[in-house]
Amino acid sequence: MKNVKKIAQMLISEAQKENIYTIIRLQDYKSRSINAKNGKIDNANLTESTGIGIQAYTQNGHTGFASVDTILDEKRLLACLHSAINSAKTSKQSNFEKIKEIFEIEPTKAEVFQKPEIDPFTITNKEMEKDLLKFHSNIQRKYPQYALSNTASFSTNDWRIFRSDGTDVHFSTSAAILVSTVNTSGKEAGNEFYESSYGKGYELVYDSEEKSAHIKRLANKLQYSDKLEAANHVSGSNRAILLDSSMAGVFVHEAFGHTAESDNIYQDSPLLLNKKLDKGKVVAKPFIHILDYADKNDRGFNPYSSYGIKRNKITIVKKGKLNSLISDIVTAKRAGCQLEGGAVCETYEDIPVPRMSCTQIILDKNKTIPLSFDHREANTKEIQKVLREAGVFDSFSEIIYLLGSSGGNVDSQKGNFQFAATLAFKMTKSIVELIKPVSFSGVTLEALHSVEMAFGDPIGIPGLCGKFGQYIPESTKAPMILLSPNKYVTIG
Amino acid sequence: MNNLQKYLKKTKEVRNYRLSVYKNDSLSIGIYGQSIGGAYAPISNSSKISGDLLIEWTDGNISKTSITSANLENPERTVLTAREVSITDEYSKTFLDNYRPKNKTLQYSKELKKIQTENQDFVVDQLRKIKDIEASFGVKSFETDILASISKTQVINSKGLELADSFSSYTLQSSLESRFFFTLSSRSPLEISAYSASIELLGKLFRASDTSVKVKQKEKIAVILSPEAAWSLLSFFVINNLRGSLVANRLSRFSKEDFKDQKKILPPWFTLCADSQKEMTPGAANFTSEGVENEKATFIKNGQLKTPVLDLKHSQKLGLPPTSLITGPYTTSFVEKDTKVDALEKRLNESEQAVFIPYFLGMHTQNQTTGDYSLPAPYAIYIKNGKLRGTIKVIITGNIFVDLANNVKFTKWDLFPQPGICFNPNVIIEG
Repeated sequence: MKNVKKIAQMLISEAQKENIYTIIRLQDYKSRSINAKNGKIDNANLTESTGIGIQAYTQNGHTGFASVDTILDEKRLLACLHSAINSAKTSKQSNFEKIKEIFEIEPTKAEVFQKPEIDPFTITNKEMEKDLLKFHSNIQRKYPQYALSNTASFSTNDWRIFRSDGTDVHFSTSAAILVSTVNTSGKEAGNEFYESSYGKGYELVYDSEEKSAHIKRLANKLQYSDKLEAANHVSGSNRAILLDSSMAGVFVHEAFGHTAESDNIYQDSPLLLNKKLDKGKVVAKPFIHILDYADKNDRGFNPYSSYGIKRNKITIVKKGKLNSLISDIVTAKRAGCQLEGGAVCETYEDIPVPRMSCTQIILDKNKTIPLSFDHREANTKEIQKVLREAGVFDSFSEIIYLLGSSGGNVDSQKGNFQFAATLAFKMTKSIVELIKPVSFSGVTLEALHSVEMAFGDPIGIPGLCGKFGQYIPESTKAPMILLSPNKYVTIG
Repeated sequence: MNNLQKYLKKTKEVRNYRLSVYKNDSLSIGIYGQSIGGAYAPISNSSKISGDLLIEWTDGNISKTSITSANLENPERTVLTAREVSITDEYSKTFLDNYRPKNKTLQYSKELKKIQTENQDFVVDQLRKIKDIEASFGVKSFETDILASISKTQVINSKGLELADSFSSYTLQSSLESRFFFTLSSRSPLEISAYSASIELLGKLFRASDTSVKVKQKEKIAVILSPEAAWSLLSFFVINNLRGSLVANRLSRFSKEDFKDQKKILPPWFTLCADSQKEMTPGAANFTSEGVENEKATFIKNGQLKTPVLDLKHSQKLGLPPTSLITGPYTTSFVEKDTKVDALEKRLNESEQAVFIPYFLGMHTQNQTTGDYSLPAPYAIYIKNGKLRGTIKVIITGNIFVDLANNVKFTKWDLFPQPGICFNPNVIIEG
């Protein structure tokens, strides 16, 4: 992004002539992906996108927004600026909402870059083809009877944020993801199985340890593919449930994280009381803590908000009590919580909203049973043994173990959630039975109150989160967690 | 576009190319909470060029890159970058000969262009009307967006193909406190008053949802899916499995042979057609982004598979002719024309015992190849003797290909272009 400072300054001074405060967001996004299907390279794509989003504010705080897909064409940039200014003025005439908080923030200057070890945009396509096919054929050799698709995707997202108060924040993020999708077709109704690994750059493709773990995790699911059709279906509430780290991660992200986003003051959330943070409210047992924080190695790393405000390590729940929200400049004060710099937008065309980065659930050590293995690679008998040794079956005669997440959904106003598990097992002290994949649904706080204990270290799981039509990379970190029976939590 | 086309023509290494460019200008405004045009839904204008470039090089390799205005501004860099990401892909070498379209339908409203460029007041006025209507139902917190956009598509290729089309689009999306949703789309500005009867029914449902009821499950309860919920179920499990890219790679429930054998997968009432050239219809277009003319197509006839949905690459891979694409509920139909369809309100009033499901949580988490589903509906409405009794939480489970074979009835309302369905899956009442 050359000369962007000059461009931004030109736009800011032009706006100042009309007493308009502006936030200028410049984005330079690049992504590259390559896909192999059933032994051959099927597709490769390159996407580059550059543009600018301008938020204009009148002196009273009325706002308007405009975006344009260039940072070079001065005529179009000025047209975009004037469009944002005119919208802000219309907003004033129409007596729309005022956002005065924007004038209260301190100017910032910062540069932070999440750099990959190996830049994927320097790799030739031939090399990429060769590397992906090697990984692909390692899986295909084991499962020649199934349809297999592997995709490696890489992206860099470079942001520069300028404000009329002199703020100049520059940060970039990098993401890499390697995905396997196996369809056990060939029979009437083949199942679909999914596995992923993530990192920052092309080094992910060279990481033989992670690739081998990826294949082990996939194999651990595929071993059940032939048995699923004959498996029984189990449903109902009031059951003890063991969530693997991916299900626990989706649970903490979907069911809890979304309800903790501060823009909920415009709607509702079980974490608000009279539209304000219900600080100190007991939302879980005292050994539970929920954080939202991504460091430089995590997917979802956003060191600054899209308003150019430093993002904090957010402790949402401390010792079971509600502590803070994922807040942005627009709503932090109104929600009665600390400004955490949580606003993110997917592209320069979007309006920033509070979003999660890497949401984590941590249980105190005395409530966590250490594991000597990665449970995602483990046989269910090993899991059963751990539960037996921990005395879990003394309290709950039957456990439903959910392994592998197929994603989830939440209604954050009331906290209703739903997640689907790839595989499910019914476990007793002596029996492990594969059952048909089930949904896990319920009410957020009820479910959180049922969390009893954890197994193993938190494991990072990559994800893509959609909100307001904007999709951003995020991740979760969670151990396996055990939920006691609850009538508001159902599997079915 | 001209500069890039010129550069492609003069680049010796380029054997064939196809350039699809989409220029869009839009205006959006929304209500979030109580505020029209506030922090999260301000008056927004956007101007953007997007598209795709496909190049076949003289060495036989293929490159696919996205196009933005930066690419059009710098053709040399665009072609050089595309060269760096070329791959061997025998099926993507699909460059249509020039042709004269058989049909050309209008998809553009000058009136809408005026609203997009000059008349924000029209949109603001509509938002106020919707807020007033929803407030009269008892909605306390609002979430509505209106998007007015004008776009132009061009597809050109090295074989002389030159197609262009203009579109206008007006979309209104509203959520009633996350319990009910509706989306209205049109090629021209739409008036909310034209939908007053259905919106009144939505109001009745919303009011009923204020009360929670406890129901003890003794017998099987019939399920009435809203037209939107029915469409989401069918598009996920049926339409997704017709995608040529999945069929060609054995990633679909259906194989190439299933289509050849015209395998019966659903009951005779199920006929899936697309009429993607319908005049002034959301989702309709005269040609696809690859330049294929959008002729009427039948994908499933009386429950039997006819053809996958095929773009050029997968048409070549499967050795079948390309089809128009399925572009949403306005251009697609899934029931035979002579099928009996009742008004939704009539069906609700005549139900002895049923649940009405406005939407599901987590459709995307289901397994589309098996057809098995387990879907929670946190705001289902329980109906007893034709009366809306209140909200219950349910999960419906079953297999879509089995459940649609048994005693299905249809309903309609004008808030959605396709019918809703009434059927008998397993219902688990939560809590």
